[in-house]
Amino acid sequence: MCLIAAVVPVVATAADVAAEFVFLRGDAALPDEPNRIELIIESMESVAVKTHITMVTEDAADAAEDAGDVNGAAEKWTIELPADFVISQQFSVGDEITLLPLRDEQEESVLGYALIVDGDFLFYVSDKNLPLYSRQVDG
Amino acid sequence: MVKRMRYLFIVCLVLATGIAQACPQINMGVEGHRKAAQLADKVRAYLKSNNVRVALLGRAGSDAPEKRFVKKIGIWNYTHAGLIYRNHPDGEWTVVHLRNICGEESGVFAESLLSFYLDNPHEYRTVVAVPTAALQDNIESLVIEQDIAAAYRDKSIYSSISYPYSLERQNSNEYILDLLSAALAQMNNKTATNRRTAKEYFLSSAYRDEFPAEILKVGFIELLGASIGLGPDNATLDDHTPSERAAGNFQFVAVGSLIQFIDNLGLLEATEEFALDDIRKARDTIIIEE
Repeated sequence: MCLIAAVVPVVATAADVAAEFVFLRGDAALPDEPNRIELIIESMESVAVKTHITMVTEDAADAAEDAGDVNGAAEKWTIELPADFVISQQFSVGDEITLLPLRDEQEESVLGYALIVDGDFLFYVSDKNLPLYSRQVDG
Repeated sequence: MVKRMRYLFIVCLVLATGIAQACPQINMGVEGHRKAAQLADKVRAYLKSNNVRVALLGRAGSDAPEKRFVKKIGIWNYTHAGLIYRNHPDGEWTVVHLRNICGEESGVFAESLLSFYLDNPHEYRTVVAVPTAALQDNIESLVIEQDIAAAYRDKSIYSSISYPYSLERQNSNEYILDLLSAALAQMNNKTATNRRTAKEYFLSSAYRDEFPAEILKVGFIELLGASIGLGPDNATLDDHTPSERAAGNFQFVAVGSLIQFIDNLGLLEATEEFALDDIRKARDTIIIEE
């Protein structure tokens, strides 16, 4: 299944104004698994201190479009951005964002994604089985 | 001349211990994340399929030429150890280990399995050593139920080649030895709830005789450099004995020491090594010197 669509709803704080930037296209060359997911930020109205990106699968997007409700798409998953992530500092309107799947050695399964903005690696997007966290317990 | 000696000494000691200078900021790139995820995935699959709750992990943090190790304990050429827990409250497969933060400063960290391999390893290979269920139980009890992992650092001062038989300094692998000593004490109905009591138990018990310290050969020029304070910030020979300094042979805790120690006690259930097909260092890592 090819992931092609994404919306970025902001989890607003009191000071935030709702912002939304929108996906554009996916790579149809490898239809069974997403090879790369490309997003372009179309608009950005505010600074969000915490946010997430919701990816919507092609089938779900089609179904949702038929139903007239993209956000209500049944099949979607969420990228949790780092807690200290400030969208306005990392993304600008017109940025090209790529989610590059990182696969196991046999190329059988996706272990996580690299989020790349205009060619620069920004951060790792965790798969639930291989999360990324670190805490100093005696700090 | 002094500058050249300092450089030579640092290079020699870093090569000898396999532990790099501590302070640079390491930013792993796409390749580094991919490789770390691939290695972590292999370990996770193994732990899961073997129903492991606690295991020792060794990684190849940096190049540690075996010729510098006098004893060459076992086949285990790894530089840094941690203990991984399935039932850790921070998440399934959390590694708890002591990290050198900078210079003499260290800290105990609870990190995801993936994070453990994101420290710009020299080679993408790792060893998993699984203790018996009884030892797993007791390690788990200390770190999860009693939540006292930090007590086995106990504000220790870091040295990458710390002397295993004193409290003066501590490296990452000695931290594991101290924790293992506490778990062994608990298995024998003794209490060792901090580094001092764990070390006392280790030194006063028969376990000391079963522990095979690795021996590092340090040459004359390096010794001379150390004697006039030209060593790296995260390594010192000050805590070692006069006889070791005279001989140029220094005992320290290597990953192999820990695995062999558990095995000598009859408490090692299994070991397994994993490596990527392409084990080489990731090429897109950015290191920012601070």
